[in-house]
Order: sequence, then C-alpha cells, then structure tokens
Amino acid sequence: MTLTPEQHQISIFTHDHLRKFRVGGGLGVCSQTVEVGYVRKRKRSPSVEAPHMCEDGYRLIVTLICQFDTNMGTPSFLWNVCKSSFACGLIGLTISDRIASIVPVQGFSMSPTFNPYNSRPLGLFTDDHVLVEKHCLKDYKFSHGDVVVFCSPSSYKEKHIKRITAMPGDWISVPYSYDAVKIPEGHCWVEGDNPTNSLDSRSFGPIPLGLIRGRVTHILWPPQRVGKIDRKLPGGGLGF
Amino acid sequence: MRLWFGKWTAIAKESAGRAAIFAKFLCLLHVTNTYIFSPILVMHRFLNLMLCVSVYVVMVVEFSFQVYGPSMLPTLNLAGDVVLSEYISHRLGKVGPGDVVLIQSPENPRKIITKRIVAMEGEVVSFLVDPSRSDRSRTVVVPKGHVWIQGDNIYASNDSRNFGPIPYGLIQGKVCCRILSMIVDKEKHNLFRIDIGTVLAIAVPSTMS
Repeated sequence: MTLTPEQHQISIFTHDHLRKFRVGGGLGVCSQTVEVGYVRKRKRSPSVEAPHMCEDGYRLIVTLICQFDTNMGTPSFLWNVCKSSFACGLIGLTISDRIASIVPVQGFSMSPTFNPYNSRPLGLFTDDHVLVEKHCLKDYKFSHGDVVVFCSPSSYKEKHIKRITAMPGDWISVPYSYDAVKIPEGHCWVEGDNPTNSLDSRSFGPIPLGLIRGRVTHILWPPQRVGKIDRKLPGGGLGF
Repeated sequence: MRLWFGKWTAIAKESAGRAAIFAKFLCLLHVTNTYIFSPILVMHRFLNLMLCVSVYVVMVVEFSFQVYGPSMLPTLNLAGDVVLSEYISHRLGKVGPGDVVLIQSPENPRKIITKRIVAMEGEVVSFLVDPSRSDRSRTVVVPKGHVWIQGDNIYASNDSRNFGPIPYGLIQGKVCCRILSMIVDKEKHNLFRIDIGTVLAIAVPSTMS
C-alpha cells in the first residue's frame, strides 16, 4: 500500500493516554476513527499537520488500518456500542427527568383537547403524544387551567392527565351536590375536560401538589394537530 | 493558514469532547441520585442557618437535603444526621410498615419530611389523637393506594394524625442507614461523629401500631 502526502490528512487530538487518528480518503478504506494506546509527546500543540510526521506517522497509520480491518466486529467494537448506548440512556433519562418528556395520551377524559375522535383505528399511532415539561416541578407554581400529569392517588403506578381547576385556598362547588369544598394548603383540584367520562377530583377529592409529575405544554404527534395547549377553564372562561 | 485553522478545529473538538465527558458525568450523578441512592443531610430547622453554606455546597453537588423538626427524635438526632437513602424499593412497591421513608409533605410540596410508615393500604390504624393531653384514640382504615405515616416522637410530630393518610406516590425514597451523626457540643462548637451502618429500619414500637 503506497500513500502520498496529498492523498490524506492526519489530525491528532491529544487525550491523556489515547490518541485518535482520523484518516481520510484515498486509501481504499473509508475514514474511520481508530483509538490506540500510543502516546507521543509533542510539546503542547494539539494539532500536528501531515507533513510534520510524514515518515513516522505514515507507517503507524498504515499498520493501524490493517489492524482495524482485521479486528472489525471484535469485543472492542461491541464495547464501544455498549458504552455509547449507556451514555445515551443516561442523557435521555436526565433530560426526561429534568427538562421535558413525551408521553402518549390514552382515553377520552380530556376529549376536546386530546384524542378528539372517538374511533381508534390504529391505537398507539393515532393517540395524541404530548410534550410534558418538568421545569415547573422546581417551585411547584401552577395556575388555574394548567394541564398536568400526575400520579393517581389510589394507585401510584398510574398516571393521569387532567386540568387544574382550583388552587389552594379556593372554594369549589362539587358537582351533583350542594356543598362547597375549600381546597387545603398544598393541594389542588383537577378535572377532565370531558366530564361524562373522567375519573378526577370529583371522585377522589383534592390531590396533593406533590403528586404532579409535569405540565403539558404542546401536542406533538398527530401532524395535523401539532400546537400549543392554551390555558382555559372548563367553564368556558379564559384562564387568568 | 491551514495550520492555524487546523489548530483551532482541534482545540474546539477537544473542548467539546471534554464538555461531553463532564455532561455525562453530571447525568450519571443525577441518575444515581434519583434512581439508586444518595446521602441526605437531615437536620433540625433552627440549625439551618448555621449550616447553610455546607447545605449550599451539598445542593450544588446534587445531594439533597431536608429540614425536619424533632419528630423522629429517638431515631434521628436533633442536631442533624447524614443518612443514606435508596430510591429503588419504593418504585418496586417493596416498602412496608416500619420503614423510615422520605415523603414530600402534602401541605407544602417543596418540603421533604422523614417519617416512619405505620400502616399500608387496607390496614387498620388506631392512634392517640392528642397524646400529651388525653388518652382519646381513634381508629381508621387506610384507603387504597395510601400509607399511614407517623413520627417516632408522637408528642411533637406533624404527620398522618393531622393530615390523614397520604398517597403512596408522595414517597420519595427509603432511608437505609445513618452515615454520619452530628453532635452539638457546648464547649467545642460542633463535633462530627462518624457512625456507619446504624440501621434505622427497626420494628415499629408497640405504642404506635
């Protein structure tokens, strides 16, 4: 295998014990990143151009490519895949905990807002997928009309999506009954937009704010319904 | 020109690599502290100011902390304890009566309190309504999906006797053992005593159940 200096470029990035050699073009081998446990002190400059190490680096890279060709699919390749997927998992989990996540909405309890059509030909594909932001969990400041995701108070594994209609200190009149309830401190009253088909605070009472797991801000999935969710009260009035 | 450009590209690439490593480290820290275990500083409300610098450092490094009154007095110190809490068993539903748990307060969601679970869903609890004044007791059944929590010091504890049973979803973690307990000494200002592995999950005293 013969190489001429114009045919490729070598750039070297110093890590502490590893160096990454990127070899591009003209070799009959596509450009790949090879890691070697080979440290070569060269002052402190992080980059070395090709002509400087034409002789030495040249031979090194040729042998590296041969090694890489024969070692394709060895445990080190699998190890790299495992490492990168682990890192992706960590980052994804952190983002979904701290910033935002995407959840599908099932059921018709929020019917005019989510899942407005009663027919479900494809199940998961036609269900609405919504963006849930977790930033509000830092100080638990919510307002009337926010759509929130919360753990069901009767079963911690279930999550529900409902709209907050009353905040701590408000008086709310319970439907189908004549008494008013004062929402205790640190609790809120949640109701679905579809009152005929919704399991909400009318059956289990006010829920603690600590059960809330996020605030729904946007609809993401059915492409014709992508958009922001406005803050409104089920009575028809606008939120304030 | 080419050399200059290549140098800066290399520097940018290397710094991006370093930043990615740092971000991955922070993510790992977050996941460990949220899903596996973390040390927690449990301490009294009035000593808060004294320790606020260390608490700030602790918060920056993503350790959590909480404030509690004298409600867990025989088990946890008044001056403050560093305990190890784990976050696996409550997700699997493995916490039971007698476990010391971290709970988001139902009255103030920003506050996390430490109490002991006395009864799980469906169990019958009888408790003294006001133990310092009278012997009057009440009996309730814990509803589905809820737990009944009480402090170990029943005379000074704001727990389920005030706000009723709490939903299981408010449980944030289970306290495994004490790592460090802090004893306030009158002469020397603060004395830290290392006290590894004192298991806190002891049986429920008979006066409470």
